[in-house]
Amino acid sequence: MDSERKIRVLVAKPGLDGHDRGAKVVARGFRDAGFEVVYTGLHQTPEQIANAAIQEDVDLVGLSCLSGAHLYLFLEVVRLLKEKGAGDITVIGGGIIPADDIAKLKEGGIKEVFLPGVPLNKIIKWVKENVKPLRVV
Amino acid sequence: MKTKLTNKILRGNIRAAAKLMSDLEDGIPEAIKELENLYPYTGKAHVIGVTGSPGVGKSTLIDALISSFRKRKMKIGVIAVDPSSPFTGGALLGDRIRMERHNTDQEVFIRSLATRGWSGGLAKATISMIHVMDAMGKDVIIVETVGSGQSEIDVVKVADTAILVLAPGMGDEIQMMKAGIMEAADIFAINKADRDGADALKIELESMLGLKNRPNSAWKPNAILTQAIYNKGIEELAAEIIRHKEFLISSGELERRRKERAKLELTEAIEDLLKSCVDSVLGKNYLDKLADELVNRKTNPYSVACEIVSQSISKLNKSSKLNKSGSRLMKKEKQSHFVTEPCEKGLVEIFTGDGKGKTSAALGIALRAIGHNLRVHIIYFMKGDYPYGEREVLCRLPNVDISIFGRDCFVDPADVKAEDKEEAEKGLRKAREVIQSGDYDVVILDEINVATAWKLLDANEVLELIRNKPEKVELILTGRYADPRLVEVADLVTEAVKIKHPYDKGILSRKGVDY
Repeated sequence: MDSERKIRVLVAKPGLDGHDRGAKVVARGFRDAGFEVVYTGLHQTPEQIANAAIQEDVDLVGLSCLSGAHLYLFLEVVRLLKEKGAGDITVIGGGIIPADDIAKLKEGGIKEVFLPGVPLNKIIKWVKENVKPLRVV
Repeated sequence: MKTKLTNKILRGNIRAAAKLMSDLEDGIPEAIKELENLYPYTGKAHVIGVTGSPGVGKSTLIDALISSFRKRKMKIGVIAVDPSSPFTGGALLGDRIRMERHNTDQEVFIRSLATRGWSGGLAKATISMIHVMDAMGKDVIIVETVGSGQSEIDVVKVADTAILVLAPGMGDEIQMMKAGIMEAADIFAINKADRDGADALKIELESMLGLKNRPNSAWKPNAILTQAIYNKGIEELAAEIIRHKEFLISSGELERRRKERAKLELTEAIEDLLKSCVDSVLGKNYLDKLADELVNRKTNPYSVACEIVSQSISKLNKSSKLNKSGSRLMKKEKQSHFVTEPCEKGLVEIFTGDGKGKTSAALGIALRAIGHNLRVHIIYFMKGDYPYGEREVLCRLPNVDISIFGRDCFVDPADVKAEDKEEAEKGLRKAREVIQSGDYDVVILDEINVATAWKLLDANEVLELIRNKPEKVELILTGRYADPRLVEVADLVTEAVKIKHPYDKGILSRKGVDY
């Protein structure tokens, strides 16, 4: 029996943004770091993402947005998770995000924001240090 | 017994069910307890297995089937299995990407599962997951295997109805004639039927099915042409699934299949329990230790296996006997039998002095540790094969090992034999190995102080043993004449002072009290 629990991650692209290269690279990096990664693909509504995160019992949701709608989309996912009793799931985000918005996102419950050019291993290190799977029983 | 969690799951709470599923996947014993509670409420759902090569369209077909079943007001569970990396243990679970439109439907519960090293096309926890969804009240549970080839037919063992998805252009009629999954499917779906060769594939398949002679079964599998992405042929496929379900019930085949499944599940539960019991008795690294002996042909796998199993069974027996007659506390302990919570930081304790009670104190700590499922190793120095009462009982307790070094008589400090030194050094080597192994939380080195004082051992070596010990190991040294250097590094030092001893009145050592 493993004493170390597997970290489960959902990688999602909310909204009408077709740029999924970054999300795919991060998903693949997470896989190679030994995480179990559920990839949900493009054009997800916050509702779809929150429901998938709960069904999959992930420990972390990674959102990617390059359309500029991150403030609404990211914070709506956080709000829905809380509303559905899953506020303990860590949510992080990435994409083209102006510096001014980072503080607003963090204030709204996004635990960390990663900008273009960040090395994969820095994201992975952050996850390993900040995400601890919880048991129910 | 209905716990809070059981009730939530029976009411269909997705969050509770999803969390329990993770714990089941991780093989947590308490989660299996919850499954015991849910089991009586299972057995109602129709389990559909969907298998086929990578890329034939299994996920897309399931997505279309979900819509079709939802029109019939059925509640759906989906378990989608994808492979884990044999190199990193990670996985990319991408099946639900085809089913995302059902994410906002509260009656559709999709769960992705990684194989975690399990072969056969499914993950180990698949059956447990099916039970949880079944208990939630799902009418249909669809299990999607990893993209599988020819012989991954585990899905047949868990499904009431097994569907093999094929696509044109993936092989000639010889492929159709091969053994394995081709023989086992109840329904064939030829997906991507708009592509060239779909009709030819259907003819080949049907001629193969016509030749088939499946004993004791009146069911003739059909091949259905589908184009999942355009939602074509899906109603026919759904109708065929329902026809198969009706056949299963009317023919008694459902009962037969479920009996087979129950047998399989019981066998697996027995194997799992025995395996975790073996692990708890022998510690996790027992394979590594025994491998050396096997490679050097000092022993053989067959007799070792026999010994390990009989040892484990006797310990299992004892703990269940304790459980029956024991107090509530015992019952609680039993539940957490396999869960160890080592001390965060181990210390060094010394019991020394000329009074009685040094080893007894150490043994008391050992007993306490065992009671909390910590793992203990006691190494006796200078006390050979003498009939100490505690040894009789220690070898019967779980989570404790003893090693004995020394001749079968007392050492005379004025006349130390080479053999005494050799034995003590062997003991020290063993101590080093035990402390560093990571298999033990508490290590007791009984009479090591005397062995050091009488120069059987070098105090510097003992000092080094203490300095190199892993942080979490609690180390206990007993015996008179503790070396001042050891006293200095220890965290706890207790000196037993003799005020009276019955020996002075001529009373010799008494069985059951002194040894």
